[in-house]
Amino acid sequence: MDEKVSVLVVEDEAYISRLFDAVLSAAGYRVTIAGNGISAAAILSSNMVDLLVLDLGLPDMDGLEVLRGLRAWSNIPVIVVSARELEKDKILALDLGADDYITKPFSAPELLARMRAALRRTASGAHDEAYTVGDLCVDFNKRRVTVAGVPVKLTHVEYRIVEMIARQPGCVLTYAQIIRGVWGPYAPADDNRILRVNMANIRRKIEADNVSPKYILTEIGVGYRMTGP
Amino acid sequence: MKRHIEAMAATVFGCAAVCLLMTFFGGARALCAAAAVAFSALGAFLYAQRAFVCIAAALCSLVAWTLPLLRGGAENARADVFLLILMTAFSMAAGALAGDLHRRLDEQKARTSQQSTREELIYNVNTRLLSAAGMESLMNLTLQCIYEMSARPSALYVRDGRKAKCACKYPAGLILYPNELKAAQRALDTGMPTGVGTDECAFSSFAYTPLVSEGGAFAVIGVLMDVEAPPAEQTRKAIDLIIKRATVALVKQKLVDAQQQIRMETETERIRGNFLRAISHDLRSPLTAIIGACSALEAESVKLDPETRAQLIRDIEEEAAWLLRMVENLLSVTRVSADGPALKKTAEPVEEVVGEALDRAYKRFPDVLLRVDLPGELMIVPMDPTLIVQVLVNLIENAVKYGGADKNIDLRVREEGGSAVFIVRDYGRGLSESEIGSLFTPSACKIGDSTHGLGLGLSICRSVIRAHGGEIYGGNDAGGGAVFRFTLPMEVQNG
Repeated sequence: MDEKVSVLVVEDEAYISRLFDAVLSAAGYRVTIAGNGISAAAILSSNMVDLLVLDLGLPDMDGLEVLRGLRAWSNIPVIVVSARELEKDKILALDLGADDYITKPFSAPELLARMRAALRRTASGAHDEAYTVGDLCVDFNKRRVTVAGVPVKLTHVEYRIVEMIARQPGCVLTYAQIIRGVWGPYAPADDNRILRVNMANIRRKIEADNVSPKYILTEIGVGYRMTGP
Repeated sequence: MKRHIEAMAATVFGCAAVCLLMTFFGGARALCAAAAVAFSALGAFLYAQRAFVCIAAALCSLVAWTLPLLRGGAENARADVFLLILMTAFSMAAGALAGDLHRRLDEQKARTSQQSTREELIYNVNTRLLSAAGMESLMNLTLQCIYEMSARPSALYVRDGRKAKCACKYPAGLILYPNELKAAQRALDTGMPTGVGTDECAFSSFAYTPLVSEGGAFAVIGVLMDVEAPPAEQTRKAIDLIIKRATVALVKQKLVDAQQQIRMETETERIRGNFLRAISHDLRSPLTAIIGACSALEAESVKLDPETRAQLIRDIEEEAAWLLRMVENLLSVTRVSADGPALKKTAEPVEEVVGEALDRAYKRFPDVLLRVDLPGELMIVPMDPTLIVQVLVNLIENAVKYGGADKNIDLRVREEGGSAVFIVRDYGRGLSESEIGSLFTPSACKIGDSTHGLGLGLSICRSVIRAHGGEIYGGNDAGGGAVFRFTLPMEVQNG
């Protein structure tokens, strides 16, 4: 049986899809390329695809449409590929259910790391006991965070934020997703100041350098990401 | 009142004088003479209300009475009474005539003075219209002059596509009913007056006059009419004159505005041309390096040892990274350009923005010696984070290129007087006088060495900072090296 993870790459530009093919194949994935949204949808519905790499700037359909259509029936991990300046589209894709994003031009190691993180999310789900990276350990059962064995005193809200991010290590969460997850669906999502202030306090407690954090990374304009293992 | 007293006094004086004279000449006749004089004086008074007219009338009667005396004798008493009545009538007529003449003279004088006041006003209006600056003030001034001249409110309509649109009204509180727009539209379409005083749009309470120039009617002025009291001929003429003058002034203003627009567009084109030239020049050198390195790596004839190969690959990566930053810089220009959407600011913690800039800087220059100094407490500043990160990366890259990759680079952030101040300082050779003078103007490769264009990145930085409402400065630090600082306004925190 073929144990390779099957990846569908939806990308219309030939040079870039060749690049994806080369990088992902070398990393051990089985790669299929679709040049537009319609053929992508056909492949998704008929074949076993484990992960989708989706370029948002497709010629025929809006990439977001493909995502929306997919999420209606499937929970497979999706990484969207976008041009750097379109933050709005990135956030929209993440809110529609994409797991992560990569900006063009991207670096191969980063793409592979995010793909691994996204695949891990589906595999583990919410059943983890704890998450550890470097000196940081987040114990979900005991609801405790330690750095190098030393417990860190976090407020209830601060812990909720760390837990949420730690449950999806390596994946990005938008400000809106974190606010909804921690403060509930009726919290105002357009002013994320309360989240930023909390994050600043969290960093001062768990990071050695709050300006260059090692554990919780800033995705500028988008959200936060817990460093992958 | 004064005049009446004057008249009365004159009459009494006249009567008294005549009576005195008459007594010398004979009894009852004096009394009749006095009566006649009194009547004629009264008549003149009622008509003219002028003292001297009464005196004149009195004198006429006196003359009338002395005539028969000259003829002689008191024989014919009947003839005398007849003569008395005749002469009284004559005196009254004379008095009335004199009074009437005088009244006409007065009216004429009043009309002339009114005329000259009007002419003065029109001269005034002309001067004001000529010196008014800008279309809006010109329109306002026209309506204001109409109001001063005629005490009537008015409204000015201009073209908005094919429709008429009210551009101005005086007084500002004037209420315009919607169907007035129809009458204005009609005047604009036909180029003929409508409303009060014409056959068109009889429902209107305004009189609309189109302002016509070469292309037809370009505006319409509607003056509110009072049906009960239509304006005097003079007022109507004056309004017409104002409208004619205003037409000339408005046409002239339109030409001036159009000329200004052309001048601005030419300037924009010129700047864009310079910009594109600078960019094209700057793009060439990294592409040369990339294409060169690739061809060397590909060619089988060129024998390269592994280290050289590795170096060439690193060069390709570095030059490509530079090209990418150039592209990002250009894209940020489109985000802050005047005709694009307005800059969207979000509240960002300074430490996160600086952290991101540091991250990118370390990726490009892994060995850079960056010393960061931020305030201890959290500082949140409204900004577009991607753009400000780019500005910081630009400044750090400049500091590395010109300050030296082996020297320290200080990055400090402070709050000063309601603004966040960012300072990037290097310890290199600093900037020359000419460099400081033209720091932020875009130009291609000002410094003619292998390092890429300094100017473009900085001019983009300035556009970004200014779009945020801040300012950027560059100069030399007193302790040596170049220093760049920019400010971003901070929101006023409530409560």
